[in-house]
Amino acid sequence: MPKEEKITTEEAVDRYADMVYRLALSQMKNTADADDLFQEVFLRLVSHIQDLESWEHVKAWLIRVTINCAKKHFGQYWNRNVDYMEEPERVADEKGGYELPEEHPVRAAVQKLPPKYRLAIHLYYFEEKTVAEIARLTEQKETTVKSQMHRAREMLKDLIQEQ
Amino acid sequence: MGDNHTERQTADQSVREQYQRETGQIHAPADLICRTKDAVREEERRIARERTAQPASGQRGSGSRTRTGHIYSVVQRWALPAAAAVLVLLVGTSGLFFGRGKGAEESAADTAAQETGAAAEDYDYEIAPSAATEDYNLDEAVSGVTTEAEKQTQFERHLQNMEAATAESAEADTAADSGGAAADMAGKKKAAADSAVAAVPALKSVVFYDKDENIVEAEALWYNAARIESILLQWEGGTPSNVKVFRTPAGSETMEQTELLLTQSIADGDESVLLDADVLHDIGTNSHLFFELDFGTQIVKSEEYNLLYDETE
Repeated sequence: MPKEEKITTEEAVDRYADMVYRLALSQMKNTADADDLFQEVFLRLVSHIQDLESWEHVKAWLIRVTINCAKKHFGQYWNRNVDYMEEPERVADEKGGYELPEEHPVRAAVQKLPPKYRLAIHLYYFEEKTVAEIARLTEQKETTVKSQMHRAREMLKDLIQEQ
Repeated sequence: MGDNHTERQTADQSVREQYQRETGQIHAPADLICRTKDAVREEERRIARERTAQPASGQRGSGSRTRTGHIYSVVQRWALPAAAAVLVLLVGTSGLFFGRGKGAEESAADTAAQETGAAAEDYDYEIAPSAATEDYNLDEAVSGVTTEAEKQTQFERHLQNMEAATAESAEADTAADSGGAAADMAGKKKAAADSAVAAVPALKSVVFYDKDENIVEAEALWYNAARIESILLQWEGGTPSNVKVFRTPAGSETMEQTELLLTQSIADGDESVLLDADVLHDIGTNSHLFFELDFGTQIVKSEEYNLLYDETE
């Protein structure tokens, strides 16, 4: 990496805000929790930014920490045992205002999957990660990820057909 | 068979593309990005402040490490004992030198004066441990202890050190009482000077302990609240009527979000308090913790300590 290309947290927010937000939204049960997760991830980055040597490292670090923070969130007693009311998903338009999505049948179906399947599907379909990369990011065996992907696809097919 | 496989792949590809299209419409809200950037800037300022304050105050002790592994205040570890040793050596040598330089007649003539002077000098040497007690710094005391954890827990050692220092102080007081008029005068002057210094209320140290009474160190300036079982606060310059523990959720950085976690009354004359850290275990989100000591005329506020909660450690 050229020396003049300085990696800062603010620049990382600009570059990867959407990526982190989409991943957070795919993992959390409501947008308020996704907002909290989003902020927590970038605040953690402040103390680690010096250790990351390239934007690729920053991206991988953000994905991994978002996943870990989401896991930790659901590991807490309160969050394990509380059911949130269904909340309509918000989508920010170009001016930063909120709009409800039009028709999101596939997203709606993915959101109904169990969290581990949701994560695998999001990383595979949207972030275009390979099975090996997903295994590294989620600290699982490749065979486990493959089987998760297989089950997730089956469930997704059923859910889409039901709609 | 082959057709089925191709069909499945095509269907999967179509679902994938639609998921990409739908998810691609989602963007992080502008106000969330703004708030996050503000919080990031504030966090960077706070870390910079802590980094500049740490080596100067030495509050974290000589073993504190930065993220990159450099040790802060390496000099501090050996400089103070070395300086003290050199000072004692110089004073001892100069005393010996002056003693030899005096003639027999002079010595005989000044016997009475020397006796009075000797009493005063004795008193000064005796009172040194007392001053040491007041200057006793918890962090300095525990900073080098981590390597000797097998021998004794740090907390027990710290308490023993404090008791030893207090006992020495009591001995010094006794010696001062029997030291004569000159000693009394010198003692009064020293005590007045000491009390003038100690009159300013201040928080001396904040130490977090785990369930085994080992000190919980910060990792990259963050303390894991899941490990903290008790908090030891030490102060000087009076006794606060109470100690309050506050926290602000990380990221919000606004006073409106600050909540009072605990208020602990303090008995007259106490110089420290060990707080139960159960309240930290319900925090959940990352937070900044700080303490307020109400000295009546003045409220002393501590620096902020970063807390995260990670049960997996």
